[in-house]
Amino acid sequence: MLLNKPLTLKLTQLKVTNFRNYPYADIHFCPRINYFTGANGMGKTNLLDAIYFLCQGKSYFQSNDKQLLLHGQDFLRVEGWFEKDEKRFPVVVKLQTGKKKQILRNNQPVQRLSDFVGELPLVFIAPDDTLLIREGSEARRKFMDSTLSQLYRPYLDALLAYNNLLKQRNQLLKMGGDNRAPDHALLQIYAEQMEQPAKVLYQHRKAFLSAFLPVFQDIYQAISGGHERVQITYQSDLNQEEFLSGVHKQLRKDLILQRTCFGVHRDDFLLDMEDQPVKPYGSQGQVKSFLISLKLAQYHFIRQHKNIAPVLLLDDIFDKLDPRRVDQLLAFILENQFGQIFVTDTHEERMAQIARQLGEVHHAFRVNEGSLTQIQLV
Amino acid sequence: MNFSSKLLESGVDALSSLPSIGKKTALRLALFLLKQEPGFTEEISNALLKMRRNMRECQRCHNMSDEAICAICADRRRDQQVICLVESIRDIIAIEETQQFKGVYHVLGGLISPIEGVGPGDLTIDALVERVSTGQIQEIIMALSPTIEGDTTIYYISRKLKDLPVKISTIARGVAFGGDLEYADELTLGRSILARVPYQNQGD
Repeated sequence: MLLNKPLTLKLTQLKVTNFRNYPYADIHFCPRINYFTGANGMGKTNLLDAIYFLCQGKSYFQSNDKQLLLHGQDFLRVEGWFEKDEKRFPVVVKLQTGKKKQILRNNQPVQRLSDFVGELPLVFIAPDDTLLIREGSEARRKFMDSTLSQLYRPYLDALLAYNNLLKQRNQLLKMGGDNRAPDHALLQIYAEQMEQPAKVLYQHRKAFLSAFLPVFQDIYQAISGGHERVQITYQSDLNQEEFLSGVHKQLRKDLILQRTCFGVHRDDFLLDMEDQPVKPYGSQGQVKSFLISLKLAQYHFIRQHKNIAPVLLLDDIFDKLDPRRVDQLLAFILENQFGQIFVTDTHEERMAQIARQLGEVHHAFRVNEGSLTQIQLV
Repeated sequence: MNFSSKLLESGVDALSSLPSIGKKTALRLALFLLKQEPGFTEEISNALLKMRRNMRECQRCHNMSDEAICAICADRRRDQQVICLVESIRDIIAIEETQQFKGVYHVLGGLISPIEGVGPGDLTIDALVERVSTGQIQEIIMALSPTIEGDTTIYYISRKLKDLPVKISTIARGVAFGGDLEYADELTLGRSILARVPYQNQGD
C-alpha cells in the first residue's frame, strides 16, 4: 500500500497550559513512537486531544471549546513544534474566555480555520468512536465528508454550498407553518441551485468509496486474520433518481414535514460484516477491528494524496482485542511506515510488550493526574 | 462612565446609540460640540432633522430621494432602458463613484434569505417586474453580492422575468483589478479560471 517514501509530519515538543486536567506540561517527543501509560482518568486521552486540538484547531471530543479549560481557569494555551520537510516551525492555539480562539502558525495568525485544516494532517483512532455505534447516518457521513474535504477542495466548497441552501430551503418550508404557504417558485429555485453541488457530492462519494473499499478490505483482512467478509455500501437517494425529479416528487411530503425529504443529506454508508450490519451483530473485537481499518484506510488516502505521513494517534486500541489481533495489528504497523505514532494503554506491561514487538525507537511516559514522567519500558 | 452633569450624560448616551460609536467616542464628540459656538450644534441638528423629515423614497427605483422621483431617474441624459439592480442604496453610491454606468437603478432592499426571515415579498421584486413589463427596459444588470443568497435572488428574479423581452446580465466576478494573482483566494481564482473570458484588446 506504500508509494515512494512520503514526507513525515513530526511533533517534537508540546507545551500545554490549562488544557483539561493539565495545569502545565512540557514534553519532548520521539520522532517515531511515543507511549503513554496510566490508569483511567489520569489524562492520557486529554494529551492526545491536545495534539488533535493543535493540528485541527478543535477538540476531537468536545464541540464546546470552553469545556477544554482546566477547571476554574479562564485561558488555555497549546504550543507545539513541528518538523515537516526539514523545516521546523511552531504552532500555538490560544483560547481565552470572551475572546476569539487564536491560532498562530510560525508566529503568523491564521485567519480562516479552513485554510489551516489539512496543513498538519493526523488521524485519531479512539476506542468509542461513535461512527459505528450511533444509530443515525450522520456520524458515518461526517467521516466521509471530513476525509473527502481534506482531499478535495471542490468537495468542501460543494458541501458548504449544499448545506447552506438546504438550511434556507428547510427554513422556507417552516415559514409555511404560520398560515401562509411557502413560495413554491422559491422552493423550486433552491432545489435547482442544490442540484449542482448535490451531483458533485454524489459523484465524489461514489467514486471515493469504490477506491476506498478495496484498501479498507485489505487492511481489515491483514489485521483480523482474514476470516470475515466486510463490506461498505453507499446508499443514496440519487442511486434511484435524478436530483430534481426526486425533490419534485417529495414536494408534498416536504410541505407536511417542513423539511427536505430527498437529497444527498440523507446519504448513508452501510457497514456490513457477513451481510449483517456490524452493529449490533459483530463482536466487540470485530467492531473494533472494523473501526481501526476504516481509520487506517483514511490514513492511507490522506498520505497518498498529500504525500505526507500524518501523525497517528492510537488511543487505547489494544484493549479488547485478542492477542492474535494485537499481533496482526502490530505486524501491519511495522510493515507500513506510519510516520510518528502516539499510543496510549492502561496496562504498562502490555505496552512494554508492544514496544518490544515493534522494536522501534520510542519515548515512554507515565501519566498521573495531569503530570507526566518519562520512564523506561522493560 | 461617571458624569457630573446629567445634560452631558444624556448627550453622550444619545450619540453612543449610533452605530460604530462607543462611549468614549461619544464623549469626545459631545465635548467637541460644547467647545464650539451653540450655533454649530444647531446647524448640525437642523440638517439632520431636515434630512430625516423630508427624505422620500423614489417611486420608481426606491432610491433615497428629495422628490417623488430621484435625481438619477429624473436625469434625461441617463439611459432609461438599462436598469442596474442593487441590494441597497450604498451600492448605488459605490457604482456612481466608478462613473462607468449611465443607466438607472432599482433598489431591492435586501436579499432572499428565509433564515434571516427575508422572503421575496419583503423585497421590491414586484415593482421591478412591473417596471420591466412596461416594455421600455432592454437590459437588467444584476449587481448583487456574490454569495449564495445573492445567487438565489438573481435566480428567482430572472425566473420572474423570463417571459418578458429583457436581456439579463450579471456583473463579472473574479480576481480584483491591480491585485496579485498569488494573493487571490482559492475560490475566486478557481472560478475565474472556469469562467475565463475571450481576450479583447483594450483598444478595440
